[in-house]
Amino acid sequence: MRASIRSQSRPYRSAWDVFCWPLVISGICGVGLGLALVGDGIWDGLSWLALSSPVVLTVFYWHRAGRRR
Amino acid sequence: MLFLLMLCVTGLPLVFHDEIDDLLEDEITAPVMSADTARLSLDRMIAAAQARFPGQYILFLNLKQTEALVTVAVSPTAVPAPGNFHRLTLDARTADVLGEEAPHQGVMDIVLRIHKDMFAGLAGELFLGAMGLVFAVSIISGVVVYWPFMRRLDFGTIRRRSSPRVKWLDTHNLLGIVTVTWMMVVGLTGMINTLATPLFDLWRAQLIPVLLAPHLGKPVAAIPSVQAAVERVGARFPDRLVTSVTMPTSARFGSPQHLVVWTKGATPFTARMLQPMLVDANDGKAIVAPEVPWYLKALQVSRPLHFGDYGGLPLKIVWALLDVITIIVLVSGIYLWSARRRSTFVRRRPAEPPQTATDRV
Repeated sequence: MRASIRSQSRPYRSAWDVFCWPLVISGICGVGLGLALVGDGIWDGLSWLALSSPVVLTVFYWHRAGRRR
Repeated sequence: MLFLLMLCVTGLPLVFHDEIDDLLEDEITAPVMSADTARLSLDRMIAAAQARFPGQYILFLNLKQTEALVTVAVSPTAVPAPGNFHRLTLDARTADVLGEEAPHQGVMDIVLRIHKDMFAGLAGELFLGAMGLVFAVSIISGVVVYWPFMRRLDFGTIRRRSSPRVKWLDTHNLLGIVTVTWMMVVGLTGMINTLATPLFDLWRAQLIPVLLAPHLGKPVAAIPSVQAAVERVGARFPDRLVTSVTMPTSARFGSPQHLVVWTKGATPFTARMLQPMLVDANDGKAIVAPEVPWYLKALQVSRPLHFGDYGGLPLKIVWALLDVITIIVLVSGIYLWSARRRSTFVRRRPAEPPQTATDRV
């Protein structure tokens, strides 16, 4: 497995490095879930944006992995 | 796993159940009249429903907030069999019967039953609630093992050139970690929802005997003037909107000696907090506004967070997309688990090869 040999040469990451982005996304989603609950109109719109972030990230990284092929 | 997959798959159409229902069934709309046309008394609605189904029992009235419509539920038995009642939709200004919904099960009702209790009643409901708990535990364990897998990779890496197993492992990790908050919230609120029936029964068991003590041994009270009761509640609680009225009944959803006037708040947040006002059916005057316990408030707030129906159609679409991602995470999880089982079986006899991070699925 070439990929795993190559990645082994990289230094290990700390828990903070690994979980930094997941925490940010999780925070955004949490706020998004709450926003639509407290109000209508602009709050709903912000909530749509916040909760689409996982979908956008998925599409983005999936697409990027395909391009590098 | 398969049960979770079933919940995700049946949940997908349920996100859009309002839209699908509108599509499948002709929605009843109130005929256009000038906006200041006065609404008739609610007692006239009950009289009209009784005229339509003489001798049957009126169960409850629903007052539509957005249109001048009132729905009246009528049952041939005093305690209705599940789903066995007629729903009459009346024009609130003329008391004309606009629509009549016979007891039936639509496609969406069947999907809902599978999703909710798999046609096994409370036991099925609680079983699926336990599945929700298993879901939460597996999410947490997934987050814990996310670290060793991702120590040598950038966030969001998908090694598509590697074996399908590595590719799906990366996909599972990425999709799982970006949706973890949403999955947790929907899973846990779904679990809380399965406790709705026992929690409501608990509250009722604490509340009703105290209220009924003075009326012990009396038969179910006759229906007093609903309009007067609603007006009295409105006068005492001017900031609450009346959503429905339950008639005196010996069934579990009401009280034999009270009209239950259900009210909601006017802001988006308090609109989710339903508060029942019990009006004594014998004199039609005394109002009891019991404090809703915290666990039922939590239940009411958790409902929209499970259904995703609190932020318009775009939120529902986002909900559906996240549900699809969850299905991919579940399916790839099953695939990775079975792939690992196959490989450990094959490898058992030769010396264990050095473990790489990708083997520890």
